[in-house]
Amino acid sequence: MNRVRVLALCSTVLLVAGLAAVQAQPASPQRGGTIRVGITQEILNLDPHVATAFSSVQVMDLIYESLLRLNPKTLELEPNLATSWSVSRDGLEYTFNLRRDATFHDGTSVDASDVKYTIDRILDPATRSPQASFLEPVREVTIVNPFTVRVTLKRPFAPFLSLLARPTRGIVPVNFELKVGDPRVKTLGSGPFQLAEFGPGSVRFVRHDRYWGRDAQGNRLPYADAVVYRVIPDPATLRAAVRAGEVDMIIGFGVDITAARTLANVPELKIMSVPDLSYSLLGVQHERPPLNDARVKQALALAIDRDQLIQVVYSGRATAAGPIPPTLEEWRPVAAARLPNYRRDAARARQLLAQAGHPNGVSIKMMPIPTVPEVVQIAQVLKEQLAPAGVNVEIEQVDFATFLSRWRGSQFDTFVSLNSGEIDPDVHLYRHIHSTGSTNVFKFKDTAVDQLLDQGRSTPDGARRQQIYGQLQQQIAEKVPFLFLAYADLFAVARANVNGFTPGSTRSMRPLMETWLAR
Amino acid sequence: MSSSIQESATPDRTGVAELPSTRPRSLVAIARRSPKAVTGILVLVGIAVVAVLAPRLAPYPVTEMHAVDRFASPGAAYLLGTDFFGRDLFSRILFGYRTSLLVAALSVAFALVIGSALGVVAGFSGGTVDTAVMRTMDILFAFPVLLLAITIVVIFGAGTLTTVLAIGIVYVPIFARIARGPTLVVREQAYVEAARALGQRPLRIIRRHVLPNVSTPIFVQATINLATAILFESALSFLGLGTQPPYPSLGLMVSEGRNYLELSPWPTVFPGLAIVLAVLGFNLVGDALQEILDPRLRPTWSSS
Amino acid sequence: MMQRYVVQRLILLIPVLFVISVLVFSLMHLIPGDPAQVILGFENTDPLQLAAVRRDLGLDRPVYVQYGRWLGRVLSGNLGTSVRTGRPIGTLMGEALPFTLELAVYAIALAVLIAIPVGTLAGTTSSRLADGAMQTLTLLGLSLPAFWVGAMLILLFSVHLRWFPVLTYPGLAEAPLANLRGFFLPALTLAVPNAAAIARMVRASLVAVRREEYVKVARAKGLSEPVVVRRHMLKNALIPVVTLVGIVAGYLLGGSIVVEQVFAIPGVGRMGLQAIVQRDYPVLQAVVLIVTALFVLVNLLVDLFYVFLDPRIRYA
Repeated sequence: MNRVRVLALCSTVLLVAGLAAVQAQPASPQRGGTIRVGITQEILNLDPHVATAFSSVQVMDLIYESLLRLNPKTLELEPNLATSWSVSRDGLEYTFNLRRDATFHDGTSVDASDVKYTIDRILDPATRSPQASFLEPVREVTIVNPFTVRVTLKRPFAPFLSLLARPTRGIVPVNFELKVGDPRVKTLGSGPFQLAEFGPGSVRFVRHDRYWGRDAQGNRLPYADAVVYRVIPDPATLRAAVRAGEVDMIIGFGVDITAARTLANVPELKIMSVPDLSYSLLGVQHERPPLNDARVKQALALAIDRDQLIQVVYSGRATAAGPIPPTLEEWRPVAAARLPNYRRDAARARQLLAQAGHPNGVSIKMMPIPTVPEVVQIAQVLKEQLAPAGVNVEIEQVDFATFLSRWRGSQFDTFVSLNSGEIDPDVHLYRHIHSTGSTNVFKFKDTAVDQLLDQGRSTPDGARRQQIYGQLQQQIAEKVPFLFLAYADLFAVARANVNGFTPGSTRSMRPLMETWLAR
Repeated sequence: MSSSIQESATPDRTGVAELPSTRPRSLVAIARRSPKAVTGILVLVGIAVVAVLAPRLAPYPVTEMHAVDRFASPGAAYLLGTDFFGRDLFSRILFGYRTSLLVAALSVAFALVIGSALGVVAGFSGGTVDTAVMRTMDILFAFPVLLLAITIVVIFGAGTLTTVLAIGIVYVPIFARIARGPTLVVREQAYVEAARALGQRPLRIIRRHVLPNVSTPIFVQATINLATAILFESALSFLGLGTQPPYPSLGLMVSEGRNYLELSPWPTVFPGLAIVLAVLGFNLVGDALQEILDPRLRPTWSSS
Repeated sequence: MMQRYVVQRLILLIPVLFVISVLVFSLMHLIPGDPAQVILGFENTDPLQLAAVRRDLGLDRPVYVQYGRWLGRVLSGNLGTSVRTGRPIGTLMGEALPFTLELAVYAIALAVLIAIPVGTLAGTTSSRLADGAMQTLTLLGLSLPAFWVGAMLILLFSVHLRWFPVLTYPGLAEAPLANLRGFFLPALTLAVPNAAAIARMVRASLVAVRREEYVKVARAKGLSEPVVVRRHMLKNALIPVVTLVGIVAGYLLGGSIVVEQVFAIPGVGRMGLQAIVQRDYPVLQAVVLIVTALFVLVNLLVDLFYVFLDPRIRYA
């Protein structure tokens, strides 16, 4: 249903591919071998429904599979464990037909009871699943027959299918916890790989031999025998590791334009990139003076120069952000330059501040999230940009748990962070800016925005829904719930003998099952 | 039992020797006898001068970004080049010296005052007070240094003052131990016993007899800790828990630049050299002081 | 006599560890944020769920009750499980400690190997130039920030020259040579300032010993200079050096957070840092207790070692 297209520019771009590498590429994939992946952040928890850390979520779709999946290139919804589905006319009943050849790592087959168990597990408050809020519209799950399952919703919910395409809603077997023990450190899924070793600073996954997936020639996937994640917290060391061949590829936080630039001239490496669905933002607490005044927020928006920000922090490799990601063409994203309050006008900003009763400017604090390396750089650029407009910024760095605690408690003037993007505009926006949204820590309340958001999720797909999000983009730009800053390009760097890997806008690592090492 | 250990020939566990009661000689004498001291002092005075005059000497505002001149090489426009944001490295190093010296000076001053007071009181009072104070110091001393500092920073929130507090607290036991040793020795001296017998107030005795003897080893230790404090501050900043950007500290500059070594070495090399120079300055002076003041040449050393 | 002394020192360790555990516990509860929030992350903001997770973890109890429970568990020999990952802390420690131990031992070995010859040379040479050069070099060694040295070593030896792998740390038992190669750069980074400090200590001690009567006597007996240095001077000069090595060992066993971070070594230091940032209370407790105990024990060993070096010392 969601016919989401990715801009042509977004497909994998090879900045540099060593000539030798291109020539050496054999025609057919080679099986076997261990792919060593370097990442900067510790993998903490492998329970698909409970994990929250980015690094954990990133590896989840190697182990667990959801009913649907996103095509990493086009971001279209595709069959996965469900081969086909239908939606009742009232939009309340979704019926899924499951594939019959999928098995869990213990050899048992994946069937309708597992799907029901999974959704029930996520919704059970005892699971403490952060995914529960996403599946809140579900009323009940019914087993129609062993390979058909029906999900009934409380009310029509347009983005529902997109919710089922995330690895964090991956299917687990009935009595999961009894079978697996502690699912934080042990796994039992149906994905292409299974956990073999959860060691300090390294996690090893081995091939699921009975995995159903096949390539275009009918060969069984995955190609590789194993995938090992090495945690290398320091980005410079991480780059040195791939350069020296200690790991086969590096990806994730810390692999950025700097990695692309510094490694571009190394002949045995190739650099891949794709625009991120996630966006950096400047969060604003709407109830705290002086930011409780609409004019001050507008001044803040007018003081920011996104182009310069992107030039400095991302060396130009990012897109100025409006509320809808530019990769989601179907939703008609309005380019940032054409949105109100998006063009820098320091004089007007000062004027607005004066009108709001701050002729000498205002002082605010800005808290960057510590886990995303470029965020503290963004904060520094923003501070410089805001100063001439009369906004004096004090940057306060805090550790991760403090950030989280203050974020949850809305104890901030402003913060800089990264929000993960979603392919459906409702999931992308609702929880952050609806007055009842689960992550509206901004305390943003606006009836017009609320109304549009409510309409957007209950209107069945189509032109009308598109229109709603068109209006919403304008509203958001005018009312400044928070500042969308940039959708950066994501990078991955691989050794020349790594073939078949496609980085995705959702940061999925699933393409590793189609990745093979030339020997 | 425990006192018999202390009186044995074993050096104190800190490696801190109990120094004889030499009084500090005049600076001129020191200079004549030790070119090392002169070099060190010249380096430090030079650094102190540029730090104080930084607002006048810096060619650019310290946080000003030049988006078109990112990672510029050293040259006419930017004496030492620019960093990731196109900020002038020379200006930032001048201001960075301010932060580093301020943090080092304040944290050592904090540790010196609190630590020496505790050490002198413990040594002078003896008995339960001594045991209580020194056991507390032992515990603080045994606590993993950087973890303690990080915990303090996380509790109070990162910033220059917190850094001072964190480093200061970590250094307190070092000064307490150093102050206690000579105090114990002095306490047993005949003239102190006499003063006590004459009914002099303890504070007066401490001021007139104990402090002059304690001040020398403490002074030496302070110079050394000033050196390690600069390294300590840079380690905290490296972990993102020290000075808050965009204000520069030398450690922060190195850790910011380190990620871009392959693109441009200057943002890492110059602040790194600036750290080395300042630390070396303190180490030279500390080293020279030890040689001059302690004929047995027992260096004191502490780790960060 | 000796045994009584050792037992006494070991008994003294108990109150130290007790006070430290109380200290860590109180400090952790002063920090904003708690593990329940970290577990729920940015998606699950339901206050009821937060309360429920707090209840699961026992965080809803008064702090002294929490401490009591923790203490009870530890006294029965169970360090508990990580709040964040659910893995037993004993296992985590068993994984992290070998890295830190090996790194510490390796670094000390390198430091001593560098320091003794350099220090001896400087302490016995009559050339002012050699002595001056050594002093300058060691002062410089003391003045280098570890993360800077680490970065430079990686860039030079691993990336450009490719003499050493960046982060291959195979088990010492399985692949001893590869292991020693893999740990060389981080060990060297840690060794540099310590080698400088130890070399200075060696030099200083030798200079002090040089004027002692028995050395003069040995020389007068016509013994050759190397023999005098080896037999008479070094042995006595080693006592303060051993103290210093002991202190260094105590610190290094605590894990060097900076070096572990730069070289991606999953040791105790990184474990402690992660525990603070993730508010993993029981893990931090375990790290601090074990590191402190090691520190105290190493110092005890150093004190005992004196007896072997200098029979004049007796512990009673």
